[in-house]
Amino acid sequence: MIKNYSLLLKSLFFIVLSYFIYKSVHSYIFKSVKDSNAIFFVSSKDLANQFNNNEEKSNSKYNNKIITVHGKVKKTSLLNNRKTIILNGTTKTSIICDLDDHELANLNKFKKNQTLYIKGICKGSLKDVILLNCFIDTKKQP
Amino acid sequence: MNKLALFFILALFKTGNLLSQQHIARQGQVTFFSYTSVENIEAKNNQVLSILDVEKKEMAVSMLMRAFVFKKDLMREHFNESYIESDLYPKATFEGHFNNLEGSLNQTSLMKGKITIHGITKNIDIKTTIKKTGESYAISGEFNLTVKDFNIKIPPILSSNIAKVVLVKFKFQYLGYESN
Repeated sequence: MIKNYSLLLKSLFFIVLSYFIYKSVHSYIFKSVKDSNAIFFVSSKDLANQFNNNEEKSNSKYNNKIITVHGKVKKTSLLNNRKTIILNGTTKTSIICDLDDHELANLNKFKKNQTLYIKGICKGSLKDVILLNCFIDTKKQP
Repeated sequence: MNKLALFFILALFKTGNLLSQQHIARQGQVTFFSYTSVENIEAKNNQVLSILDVEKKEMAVSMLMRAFVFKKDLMREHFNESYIESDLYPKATFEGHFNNLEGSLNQTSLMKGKITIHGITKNIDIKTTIKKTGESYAISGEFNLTVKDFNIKIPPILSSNIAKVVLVKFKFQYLGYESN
């Protein structure tokens, strides 16, 4: 009985320990997106132009890197329950910013043509440049 | 002179008309599911690009493999680095032709097309549901893909974690080309 009890205690200890390890690793990864400094700081127009002019070069420069893009809001969308802000780029190419689940900003407060600074991970371009895990970069708001 | 003006007006009208036949979805959704007894894997891409040409009954799709979101980071890492090799093959594409596309009713239509993943192109038939509301179209459907058809190598140690056949679902909401 006592042996069983200590075994139970031990396994409970390990469960609690692994939970805390998981928590700390998780918060570390989460922090790394929100609190990391952007590697590149670029205007939405400039980013769109770079991808239009040389997609391959821009892919190797920006893909999977944290960047801060600033530009004017073209529109916001809640399609498929994703909070998305689209920034004006060129006439043909915009910047699609898919907000991170931890970004709690209310999309309604953003107006068309308002300038925003958005930090996210660049994933490349189709017709538009795509950024995921985005956060509104409040420190850089004008 | 009048005839020339008329010609230009007609030409303009014609181009305008052609343009209006093209519809675009910039935030299409593609989801895939892999069910095994060991674990279930689900990944979603919400930034899929698709162009629908109603006149030609054609549809084209392009997506970034890196934009698939997984529940676990490790799954995403394996997917991009080992299986799909996103650096070498960043996009998956599809081009298809509808059997019928009346453009007015809610209908199902069979689409025949070619899908390219991991640099390999396969013919595929997909049953689609088409809904038209006002000027916008919504197209959805699902199909199965066999992993080994696309030369995706899964190490034996993980083979029980990943289904041999993966279910793919898609959902596109189109807007007129100009208004987007």
